[in-house]
Amino acid sequence: MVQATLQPNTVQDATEPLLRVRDLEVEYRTKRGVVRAVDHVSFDIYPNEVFGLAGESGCGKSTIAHAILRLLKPPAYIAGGSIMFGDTDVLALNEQQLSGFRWKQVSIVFQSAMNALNPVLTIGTQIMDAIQAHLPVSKQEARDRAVDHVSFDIYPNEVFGLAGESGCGKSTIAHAILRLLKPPAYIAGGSIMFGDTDVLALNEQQLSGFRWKQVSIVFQSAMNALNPVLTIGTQIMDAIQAHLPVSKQEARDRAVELLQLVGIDPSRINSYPHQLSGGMRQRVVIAIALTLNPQMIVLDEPTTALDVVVQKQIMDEIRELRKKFGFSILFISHDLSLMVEFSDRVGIMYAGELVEVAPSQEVFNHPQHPYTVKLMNSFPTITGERQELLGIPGSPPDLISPPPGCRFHPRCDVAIAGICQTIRPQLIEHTPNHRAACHLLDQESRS
Amino acid sequence: MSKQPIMEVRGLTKHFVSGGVFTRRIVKALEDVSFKLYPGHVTALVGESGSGKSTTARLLARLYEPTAGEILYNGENVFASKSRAAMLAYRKRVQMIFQDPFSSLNPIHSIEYHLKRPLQIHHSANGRNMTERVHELLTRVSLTPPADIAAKYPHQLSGGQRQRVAIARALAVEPRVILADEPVSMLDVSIRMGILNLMAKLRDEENITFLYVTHDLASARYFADETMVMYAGRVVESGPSEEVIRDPKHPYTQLLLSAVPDPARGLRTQEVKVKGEVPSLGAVGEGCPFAARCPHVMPQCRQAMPPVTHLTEARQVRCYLYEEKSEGAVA
Repeated sequence: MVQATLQPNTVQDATEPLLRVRDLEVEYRTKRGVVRAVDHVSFDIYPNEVFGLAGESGCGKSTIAHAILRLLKPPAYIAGGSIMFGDTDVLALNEQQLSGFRWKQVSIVFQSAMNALNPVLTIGTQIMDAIQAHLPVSKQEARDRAVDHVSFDIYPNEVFGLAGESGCGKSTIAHAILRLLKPPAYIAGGSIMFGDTDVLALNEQQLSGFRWKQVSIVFQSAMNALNPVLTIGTQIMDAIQAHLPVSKQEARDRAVELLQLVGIDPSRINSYPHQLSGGMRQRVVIAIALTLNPQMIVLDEPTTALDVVVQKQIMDEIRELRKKFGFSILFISHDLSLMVEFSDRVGIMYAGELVEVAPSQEVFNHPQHPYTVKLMNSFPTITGERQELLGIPGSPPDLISPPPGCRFHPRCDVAIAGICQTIRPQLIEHTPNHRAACHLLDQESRS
Repeated sequence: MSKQPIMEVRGLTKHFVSGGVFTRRIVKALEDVSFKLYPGHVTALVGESGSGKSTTARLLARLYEPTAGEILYNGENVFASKSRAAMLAYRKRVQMIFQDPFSSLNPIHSIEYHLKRPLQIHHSANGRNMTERVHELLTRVSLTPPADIAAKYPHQLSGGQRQRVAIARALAVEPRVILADEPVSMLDVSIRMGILNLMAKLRDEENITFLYVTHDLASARYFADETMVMYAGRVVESGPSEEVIRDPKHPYTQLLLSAVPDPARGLRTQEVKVKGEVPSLGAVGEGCPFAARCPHVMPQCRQAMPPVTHLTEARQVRCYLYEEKSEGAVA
């Protein structure tokens, strides 16, 4: 197996340049003639050196950076010169060799992280993407690590919370349920049943009927979910008309009704997203999610970007709407206080695995898994006893190479030597309606 | 409190100018804020986005110049001298820690480099004992073994470890006051307490004073001796953290607390109807900034900001509901 750990590169002979650029010429073919953006530029970069390229806009500094990685797009092209990276002639590489050169030998950080990252993929997926494309890690290996053998049920009219720390896989599950995972992430095993519908067997056309009509989703950032150049009214009406055979006027009436439902004055129907506060924008996204009366709504960190007072307004409204329409909710959050208060049942995830599932008050008051026990003792509350809280020493594991056996064992102070390091514990019901995956509980229930 | 304050803030005001020539407007980020910090105490500054809590910390760090008001360190006005020497001397006493441990460390430098820089700038160690001092700093923030950590680069550390490095860097100059701006809000739940407990240890064992800026009332209750609640650039209530949170007096503090999710409370029993949102700071008028949302609003609230009422020696509130009638009528 290939280990993708980060380690300092061995410094080669520091007297030899790592990168040699000689007489580089880059031209752009335009209607008004050929623009020479970079003209006979030569420089060297030595191992372990930071070389700065400064200049004003349009001076060609970014063009050079792109040229070195062969990232220039037509109408730009390299008209002359050479780029040597060690003994490699960069300009002579074919596509396949290029993919080995980029990221492995030279990588690039662009100015705008928002443009460099794909907005609909989790960063974990994108990093995994980079690893898979450039290292001989099979998909099989990488797959197992994101979400592993997770099983849970959600009942009609129930709020099921999925809690866990960054990168534990909770959002990946939300995407999987809506079949929104993009390559290289894919569902490798298991099943997702929605009523009698086998979600994983749906074709594209059936999927479009399933999404929004059966299950809809509200993401964390309303600003990314909404189109900044369309009014909120247009966006809600588009959602309605995409799925229902209604006239424009009927769509507008329904949009007004939806805005009222989420507490927005219908006079704001012609507002653009930037004219609304963060709380109002998130309400608009919820209105769109409600458009087709879905049976379930996935709320993926819906209030994480909002202040606590606005958060409460929105969560209270969602509670009211659920009472009114009777949909189920899959609620994803890292905020355990909110999770326990808002959900009927809670699932705790750690490093891609579900480690405990129980009614929320039960999870808070009588946690069983050592991770949950420690997690519930990791955040202060505004009432209750004021006692010392210890947190959990260490950090969540790297999902590229998770610990064998129970993934929590390196941070667990009650781990059983010889067992927890090697055998993966199963999620088992130890007390009624309360499942946990821990060898310690298995031993207790046996004795 | 009979002790001498280490820092005192009097009538601190900060206005920012935004917009262009024709759309110019004044944003009143901070308006007439006064408080004292006592040695070895943690004071929390709590509020929502735009309440002015980070602006206050930045003014105390001398990252901004105030529009009006004074900041005293051990009784001396810190803005009296603008010389580099005076600035350095002040920064040796008052240090700041930021929210984002991912961007406050330079990815191309080792941890050792980050900790040597302040020692060099402030001439607090020479070449020979420099490494020794770096290791001692890392040990103080429980990053061990120090030699291994010193050789690492920021990307090789977890978020919690990075924030510990940021604290070690602040400690390098042996400050008496640390301004901590949301130091744990970007960290995972399981590692937040480690950082708060480390800061509590520095308070208890080294008598360091903290100004703890946070939006999280529960963590203020856990970590801070005193809590000040801010709304739209004003401090509306202050007092011992436990008292402010158990028995909030200002209608805004009551609203804020009713909105905090609390699993210990069990199923929600208390319902306070929340209306409206925090006003835009360009639109704050003369009276109490909370008047538009306040369930107890009275005509005078819209005319002038209420004076400070001392409920006890340690508790203050700015609200006409608690005005000291004995001190005469409102003008």
